[in-house]
Amino acid sequence: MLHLYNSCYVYPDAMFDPSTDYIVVGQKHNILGVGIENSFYYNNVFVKQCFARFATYEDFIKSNLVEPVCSNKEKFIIYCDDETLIKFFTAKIKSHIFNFDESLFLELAKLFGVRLKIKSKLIDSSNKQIISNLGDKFIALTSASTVNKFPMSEYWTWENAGIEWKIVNRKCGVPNKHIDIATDLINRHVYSFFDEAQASYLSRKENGWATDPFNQQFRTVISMRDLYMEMRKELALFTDPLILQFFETGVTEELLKDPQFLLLVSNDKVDTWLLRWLLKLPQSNITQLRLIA
Amino acid sequence: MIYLFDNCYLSTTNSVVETCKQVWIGSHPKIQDPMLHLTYDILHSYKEIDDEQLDELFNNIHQEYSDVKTVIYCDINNFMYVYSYFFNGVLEESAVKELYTFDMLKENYRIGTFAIRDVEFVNLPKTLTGTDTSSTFSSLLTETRIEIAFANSVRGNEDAFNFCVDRATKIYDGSPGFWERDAEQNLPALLSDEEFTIANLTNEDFIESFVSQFKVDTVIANNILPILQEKFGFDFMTHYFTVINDCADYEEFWEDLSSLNKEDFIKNYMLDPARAIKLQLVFPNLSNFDSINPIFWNQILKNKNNTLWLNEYKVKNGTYN
Repeated sequence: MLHLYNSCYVYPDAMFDPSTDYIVVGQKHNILGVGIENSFYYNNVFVKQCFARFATYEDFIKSNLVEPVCSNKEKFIIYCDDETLIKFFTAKIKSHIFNFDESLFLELAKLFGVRLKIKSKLIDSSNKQIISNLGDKFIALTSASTVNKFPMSEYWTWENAGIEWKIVNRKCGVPNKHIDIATDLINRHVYSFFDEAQASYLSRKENGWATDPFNQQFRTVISMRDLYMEMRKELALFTDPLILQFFETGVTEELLKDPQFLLLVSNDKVDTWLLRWLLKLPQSNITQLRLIA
Repeated sequence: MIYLFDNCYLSTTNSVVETCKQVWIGSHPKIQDPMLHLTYDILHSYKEIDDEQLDELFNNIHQEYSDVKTVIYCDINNFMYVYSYFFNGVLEESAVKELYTFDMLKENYRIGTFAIRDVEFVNLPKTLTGTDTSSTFSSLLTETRIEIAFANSVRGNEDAFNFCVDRATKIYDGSPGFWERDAEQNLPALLSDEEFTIANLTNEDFIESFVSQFKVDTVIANNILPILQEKFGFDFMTHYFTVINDCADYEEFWEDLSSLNKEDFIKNYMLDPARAIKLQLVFPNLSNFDSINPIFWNQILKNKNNTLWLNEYKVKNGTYN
């Protein structure tokens, strides 16, 4: 759904699930999740208690919780009604575009709406209709709501911006930490295949190349590159040439511009739709907008 | 996690799957935790269990929860007891002991448990110290673990082979392939600048035609692979079969393979040891680990030319008598 910063996301309240830390903002603030701990339906999870409840988006923004919530490194969800979700989306875009441009905002809103519509087509879940309806609301927007940017400083936004903003700014020569972030993303991508790697290694320990008497349980990964080089022999990663290129030459401009890189980094936290759209903008336009990242 | 029957599995507490029915047997440090019953859907818990109660439990799970994933979590001693009691009904004693050595590895290394929660990490001993008694319930089962059936099928048992085909067709999850679940975030990378416009993206027909590319084929992602090759010049199939599987002559059979349905693919390639030894990664390492022990599976493939050691895997009762 809508990724704000770090591990903080905004979800429509109809998709409520109490297994992740959360707050509630908007129409259902006083009922969502109340008394859920006794529900049979949620027996299979550790039920989390609501951190805070706010009747309106404005109340939340005035509180001292905005920055802590957006700084969360563990998954954290803000549940809200659709109108409030649109406000969060708007505030995020406004926070990143110093010279806010409403026509670009409407394009980005449509893009987000389309993304939701496509997601709703692809998932097999009871949330299909909820996501599709939310997508319709974004597509139908005709103006940006009057909310301001988030109350965090420009420096905070710059530090915590997603990789899509950093990569796009890089196009204009603005220095930032995109290399560290891209490195981290690729390493995490490789590490996500570790379970399969363990299985492969273990099943071939005898008379195989993977004999590993000193690290039998493969719990430590000393070198992500070495792990990858071993895994490469076994696992079907269609992005393989790109990762190989990364481990041989590091993060390069060429790598960042490669559409295949989008495939590699695509996950909840990196908005490949937004990244692709921003990358299409002419450099002069990006400079003029003064993106914050 | 070791497959027993229907949707029922046996497991240590190395990792616990939350979204299933659970049975807890033995003494576990956290069994007294009042949150345990709020957290998990526990059908039964036993401090101790005997043969009669165990058969009753198997029957109860078989009758009430055959379609619901149910995992029996045990401490070390009870794991060995339940394991030997159940498989003594299926295999000869020496086969049970040897099968245990593979299952012990799988369990200790947590292969096949994509569980969220680690409860208590334990190591099963290398040698099985179980019971001499055997389960009446398991001895009457007509279906068994696919690895055991596969062991029999490589020795020419046709019934076992047919069982393998049916079971593998059910549990094969289509890997390797291009997953539908990734499609939403991957779509932008597959569109050209000219295609990636609001007009196109809000056009229902255009979206439909793109979304349909992500259809996961029953065998392998034939739809999406030519697109990847066209967009990125990356030949997934060559990569998959040469770099990963060391099988450069794949083109020879790929022509036929690409037109096969899932069942034929499984029957003619995955379960044919001569081919599967080359493509061993296709099945055991990327598919349904819960229901299969890849270590044992690979052992069968590696020793396919010496089937004498598989004698002991003849099932005592049921289909293979």
